[in-house]
Amino acid sequence: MSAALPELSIASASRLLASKKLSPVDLTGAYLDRIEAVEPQLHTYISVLADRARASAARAETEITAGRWKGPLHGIPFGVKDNYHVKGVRTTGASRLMLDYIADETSTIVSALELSGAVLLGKHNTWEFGTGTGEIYEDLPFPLAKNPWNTKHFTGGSSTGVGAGVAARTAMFGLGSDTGGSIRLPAAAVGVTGMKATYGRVSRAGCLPNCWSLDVTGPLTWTVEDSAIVLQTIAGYDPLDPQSADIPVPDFRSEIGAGVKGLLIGVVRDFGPGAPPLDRDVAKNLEAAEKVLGSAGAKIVDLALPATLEQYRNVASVINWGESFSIHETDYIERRHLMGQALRDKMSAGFVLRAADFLAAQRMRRQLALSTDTAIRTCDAVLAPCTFMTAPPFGDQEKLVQFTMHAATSICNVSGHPAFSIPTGFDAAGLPTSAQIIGRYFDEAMLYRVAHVVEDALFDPRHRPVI
Amino acid sequence: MPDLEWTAEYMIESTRRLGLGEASREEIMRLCKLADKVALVSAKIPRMPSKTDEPAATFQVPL
Repeated sequence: MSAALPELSIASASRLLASKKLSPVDLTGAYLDRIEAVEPQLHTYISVLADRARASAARAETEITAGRWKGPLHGIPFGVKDNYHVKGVRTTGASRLMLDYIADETSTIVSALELSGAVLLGKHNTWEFGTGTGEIYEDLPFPLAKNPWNTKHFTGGSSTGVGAGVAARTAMFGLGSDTGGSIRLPAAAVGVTGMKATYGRVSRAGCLPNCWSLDVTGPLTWTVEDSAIVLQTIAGYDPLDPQSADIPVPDFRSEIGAGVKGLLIGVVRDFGPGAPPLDRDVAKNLEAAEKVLGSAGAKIVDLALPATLEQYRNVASVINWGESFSIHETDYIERRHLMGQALRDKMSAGFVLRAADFLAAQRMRRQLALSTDTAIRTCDAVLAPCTFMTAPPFGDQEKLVQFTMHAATSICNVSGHPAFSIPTGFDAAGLPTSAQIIGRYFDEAMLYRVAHVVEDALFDPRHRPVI
Repeated sequence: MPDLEWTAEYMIESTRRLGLGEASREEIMRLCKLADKVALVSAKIPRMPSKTDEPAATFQVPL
């Protein structure tokens, strides 16, 4: 029984926990056993907080036994990318610059999860400060996280250990952060879901910044419903985050199961000159998702974005270089020898960036956000690729960069729209393929509604990586 | 399109002027390459036709 517990979804484990048929202590214990067994191969964690997790699970058990069940995350084990602060626990950002940093605060959304009774297992692996271009130098203080579907292959970044951990069952869900795709890219690489909600929907307070105006925090989960459960707890206004949106939070699960009959779904097929074609199996499975939605009664139309992928990416890059350099300037000047090459390169780009170019990108961004919103508003939801290829092998630097940079993820970081990466199947080599469901501002519930239809047809939750 | 070639000599002067301190020849050459890339990408950002278009991230009074 114990070894099978990490196979459960949050929704199913929650029902068992609420009805006292499953012990939170046993569930957390099963995850800690799993971590001990597979971590030497996968490196999904930077820090495992076993004693803390056992204490939280024991507390959850006492509360549930006493009839004080708090909700669907009570007793559910999870991990967070090691850029979230947890009071009294080391936050490294996978950087030599922070190896001894002990946080004196807990991030708003980790607090929300712990208040809901969720059990924190540890801090997941990441690229340094959650940033990078896909180039892998193996020069960080922690070993690379590995893809559980094939450990010779990339996990996607920057939330490398979060996606890999959810797929490999070293966490039931995880929190990542997404500046240009860092939740959705790892989700795509390892076949889990990754929700980049609307900018401002989820608090970033207590999460190390990468680029203030593009950063979004959010969950990676095994199923669509699990994502909705986690988002329900972490979404909402937070005065500690200056960009937090004071917008009501709906019931994200309310439309799951409603189907897509009568909905208008736009499909983005053209990303302009310079965008590579989709790999064959990625394209085939994206087409399958489109057919599923059409067969379920949605009206499918072609949707043209107002700019090329390269234009979105250029704007995102310039903003990212400028803001990130502003965050790390002192460390770059004084201690750049402690940075990994990928971060140092990004800082160097920020070092030579002109203020006028940064502001031109911010001005262009406003126009892109408006025109992208005009396009998206013509539909109920949008189907688009996420990554254009499946996870490449480590060592193929060119493909690693292409996987990260030639993905359709930066579009919604620039525009601020919600975008949800979901698995669509596998390629011939057994690596996961993916798609994105994109929606109107603050309409994450619609993303879950549409994604659930695709999941129901194309995703077998029992098909897990063998490791 | 401006001349995008950064020279090592100009980069050395720039790094000193901007407070980067001593940098190795290898680091300077890498910076030159990155600076060319930054200039190229930046040059592709269209400029707003109107002077009244504000940037996306504008200051708001923290109430």
